Amino acid sequence: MKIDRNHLIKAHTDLEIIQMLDNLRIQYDLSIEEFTEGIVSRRNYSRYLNGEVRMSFTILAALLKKINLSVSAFSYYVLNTMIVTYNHEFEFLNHLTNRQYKEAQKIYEQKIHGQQLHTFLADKTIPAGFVYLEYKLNKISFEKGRNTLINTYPLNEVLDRILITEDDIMSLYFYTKFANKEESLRIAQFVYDLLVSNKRKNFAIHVEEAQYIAYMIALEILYKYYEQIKNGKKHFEMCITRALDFDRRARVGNYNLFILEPIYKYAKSQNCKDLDLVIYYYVTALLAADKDLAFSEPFELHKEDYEQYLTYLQDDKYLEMEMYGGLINNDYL
Amino acid sequence: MITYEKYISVLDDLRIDHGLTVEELCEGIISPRSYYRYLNKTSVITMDILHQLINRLNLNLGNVAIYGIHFKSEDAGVTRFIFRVHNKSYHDIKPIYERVLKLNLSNRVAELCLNTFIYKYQKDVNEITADEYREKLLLIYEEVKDLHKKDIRIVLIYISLIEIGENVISYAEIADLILEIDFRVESMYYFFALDRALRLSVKANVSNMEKYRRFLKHAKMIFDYFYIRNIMMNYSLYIAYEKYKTNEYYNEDLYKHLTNAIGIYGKPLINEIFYNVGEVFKINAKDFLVKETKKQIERSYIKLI
Repeated sequence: MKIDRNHLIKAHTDLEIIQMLDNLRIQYDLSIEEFTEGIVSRRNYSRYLNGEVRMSFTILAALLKKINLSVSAFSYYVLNTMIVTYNHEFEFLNHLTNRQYKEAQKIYEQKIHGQQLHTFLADKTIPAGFVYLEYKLNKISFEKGRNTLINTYPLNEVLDRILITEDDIMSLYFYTKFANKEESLRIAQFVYDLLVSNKRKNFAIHVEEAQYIAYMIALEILYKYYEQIKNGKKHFEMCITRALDFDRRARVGNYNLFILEPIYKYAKSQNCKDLDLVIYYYVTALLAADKDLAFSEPFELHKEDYEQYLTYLQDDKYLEMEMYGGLINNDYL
Repeated sequence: MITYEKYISVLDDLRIDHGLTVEELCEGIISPRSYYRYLNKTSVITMDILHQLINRLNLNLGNVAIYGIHFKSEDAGVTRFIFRVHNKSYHDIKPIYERVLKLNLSNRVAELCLNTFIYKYQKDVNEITADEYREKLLLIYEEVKDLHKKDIRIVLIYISLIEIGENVISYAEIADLILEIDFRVESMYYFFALDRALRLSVKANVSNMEKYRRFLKHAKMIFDYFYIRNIMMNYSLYIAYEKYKTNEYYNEDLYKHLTNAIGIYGKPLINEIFYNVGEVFKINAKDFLVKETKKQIERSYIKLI
């Protein structure tokens, strides 16, 4: 199997951008005369629309002002159009990170395999995600997956980055699944620089999703290695606090499940004093997700914790608690 | 607002971060000389050239806007502020609030819309009274009433007014506007407008169920792009409400609403939610939660060990 890293992301042409702009003009019920008055002649505007003349940035900004939009807002509009049009590429990623491998496989086979990719996930995330998918579907062995990524994934290049895009962080998530201890610890340092020390910056379009994935990487590595590294327990507990603090602000998707799962396992194994709070939030998260979600790997829950949970539901101490109250250690924020 | 100069300077920052020389960035697109002319503002770049250069870095215009917002303080906290006010997530809002108070936005519609969020926050934390809130919103209304309505920020202003009983526009008209407006433009405002409009519908005791269903269907499509647990929590309530009104089985949707609520809110909001659910569905919300949990624990993805 070969990962093709030469997917070219199709840039929007000037003409496509102008058409999107004109689409907005129509949505705002403006005639071409009203839209262009005082900025360009009607004739020149038509020439932009026909692709005869290319539009400058300053003209674009002036036209946008007519409909009370900034260039940033327009940039997002162009971006959203791309996301909506090629949403399957994001869905593929979401299913994979959400452990819904059969759904990911379906999207891959129907919409990605053999097709040109169009989003910023094209370069590293989708190819690396595909390797992970094949491994999870038992089509390739762990060693085969690891070897493929070693030969194709630019780990050093990614770990050198200061401005981190989703393609960096999402693809790193898949690489982490195959990483050895030495690589894992390098990745953990990278994620630490992004989440804690701010030496690296989250530059992703989907800022929150990228941040969640970074926390998922960190928790996974720390859960695996905390006993083997210096101050591992402290690092893990700091990561728990920060991940929960982030989730109480962002509240995006089902990512809380994947954050709370290792926390639950850790709290259970250590018999932490706050185990009751962890159980409360973990089980609540499990039950608040869509009941029909087809996770390929189930979430484990001890029967006695479920019985406890039923009593917590009748106790105002839990019901009236602020989100993750008692689990956030302010010393770590 | 991110300006032309900022886009170019951001592009150059990114070039350096990606370890590319000017020649490498420009190869096959423009000459290095042209690039320097853009950078020195002696010439204005066209959109397609800018796009091609950004794409060479495997990025797009959105990344550049993000860079401006997060690292060059272009946004100055507006997004974070309105997100928190919408979700009533106030535990860390103070510095963001103080920052947006000092802002002077050049875009009047954006400024007025932001002001409605500022006043909403001030009312929520008792900095102003409900009457003062009303007065301030009515003043904003005077300024926007003759403006084009197909702007989601204007719609949000109208929604704020309907929420306090100032029916300057009908609920049906709001619903029609939301269905008509392109959600890709100012999308965050769009998601919040949709969420608040749906919330209004429960209070408004909607009679036209067919239209309400269409609206819900549209909301589902939109929320799939913007999966925030608060919004999904509300959405489950709207679905449960629709089923309740048509005598369909609503337990699972209501349960989803309540489990999300207890995972997100503490006192006093959770008690408000329990109370409202009790009033609308004629049940004891806490008893319902326990009873339903015993059924809901049987899920394919939960493995009891």
